Amino acid sequence: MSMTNRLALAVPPLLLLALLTDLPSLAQEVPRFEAFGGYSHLRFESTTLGFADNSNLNGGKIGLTFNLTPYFGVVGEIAGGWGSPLKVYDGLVGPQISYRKRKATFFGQVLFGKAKTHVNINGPATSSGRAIAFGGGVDYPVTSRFSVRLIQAEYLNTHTFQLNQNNLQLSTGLIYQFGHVKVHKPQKIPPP
Amino acid sequence: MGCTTSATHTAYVTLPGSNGVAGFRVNNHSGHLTGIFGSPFSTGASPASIWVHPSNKFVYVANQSEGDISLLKIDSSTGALSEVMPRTPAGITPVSLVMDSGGSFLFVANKTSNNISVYSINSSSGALTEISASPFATNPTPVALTLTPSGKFLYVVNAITNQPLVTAYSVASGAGTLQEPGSPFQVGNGPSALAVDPSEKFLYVTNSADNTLSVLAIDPQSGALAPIGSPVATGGSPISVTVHPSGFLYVSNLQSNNISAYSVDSSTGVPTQITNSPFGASGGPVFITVDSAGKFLFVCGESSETISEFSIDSKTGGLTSSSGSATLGSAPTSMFTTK
Repeated sequence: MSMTNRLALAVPPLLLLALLTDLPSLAQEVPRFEAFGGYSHLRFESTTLGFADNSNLNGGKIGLTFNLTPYFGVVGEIAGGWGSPLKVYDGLVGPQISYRKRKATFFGQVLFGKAKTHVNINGPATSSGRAIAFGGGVDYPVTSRFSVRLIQAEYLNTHTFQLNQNNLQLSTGLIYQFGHVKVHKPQKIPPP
Repeated sequence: MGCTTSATHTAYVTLPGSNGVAGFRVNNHSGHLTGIFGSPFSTGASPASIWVHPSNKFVYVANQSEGDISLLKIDSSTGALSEVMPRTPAGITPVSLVMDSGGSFLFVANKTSNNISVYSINSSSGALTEISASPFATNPTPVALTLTPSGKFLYVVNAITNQPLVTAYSVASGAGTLQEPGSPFQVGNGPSALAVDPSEKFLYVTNSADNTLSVLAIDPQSGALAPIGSPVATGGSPISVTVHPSGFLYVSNLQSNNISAYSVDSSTGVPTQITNSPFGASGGPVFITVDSAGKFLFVCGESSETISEFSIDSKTGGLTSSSGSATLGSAPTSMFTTK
């Protein structure tokens, strides 16, 4: 596993630690929904298919997060990466935890779903299989409604063509936020 | 995410029962084989022998049932093959191919028409053009052929019942034309394969019906052959022979399901079986080849329809079986590993 993949794996536990040690920062306006769309880059382990090297696939990703609380939500994502002779798609859903510090939002997530790999060598062939992703990222607001996803890095494991692929997915893009989660600010206890 | 340098090369295996070629990516360090996507790749009918051009751009396959040669282009990123049509006519029942190290000429043994076809190779397109004097008549039933590393001499095994021969030819530099320097040399019964040592001083021929290996000295000027001692004992039904870059000799024994390994006296050419030889190789070892780097021996199993991998001890020549093997789906006949 590459250093970048290891970093992706380290994001969720670090985020959880930060969340537990800084709960007062939750007392801020939190959107109920966050719709994401942007660019995605997939480093696909095509050596499992006998390629000389792994493949760099450019594509896009869309996602929607439903925040149940300021620090916990459910996210669904669809992504695709295209190259020649390879195309890879994945659709995933799972829990997300968030840590909101001043303006920035740090998040980590574990997602489960399906991947589809399409290869065209002397004729097209397609295979679908399970997919698991975990990683995290950082968002930063630019207006009251829009944020920029500075980076999202995930380890993506796919199982297609009866083979296991260890991949890395990097994304960036825009987030539209709407609704809000009601937050009960911690009451100040007067000194005795 | 850093850029990675390719740590693999490729191997291709003929599958007559599938009318195709299986492709594999070979890990340079472990020798592990990974199937190339889309494999097996279509060829003509009943491909018997295979050779990869030194540019690693083209693959040539002898289609024994239809008497022609397939040219396939290699996709450098995926390793996949795609055939370039039309196929090039050869003689009747082409069964063995060999190419010079510069990739200028392809030589084909035609078992039924009893001749050798010679083609010049277009280095940019890979296309074959039969040279004007081709085909060259040879003794009956040519079943295998090999070139010396310098490309000066070509040797052909003629599996004639009761009169098994090796026929020697000199190859005209730059022209590819063949000249027979003298009478062919008689070897043991059922000659099946042959190999030349890296210093091109000795020729080895497996005699499958006698369970022996003939050792012949090569005249460096004329290419003529002379016997060295009596044939050396092998296992049951020796069917394939290959020489390691450092001089070790390996023979696959089809009937006894094992590999005989020999160290070779570099001055006399006499092979001596090494400690622990023969090494077990179940599944009907019909063809063997040493990987281009000399680290691995690959064994094509006729009945197991697999490729088994052995790592080679560079000091002793000893073989250690790897736990992994690659499944082919039909019986293989030959294999070529690229550099």
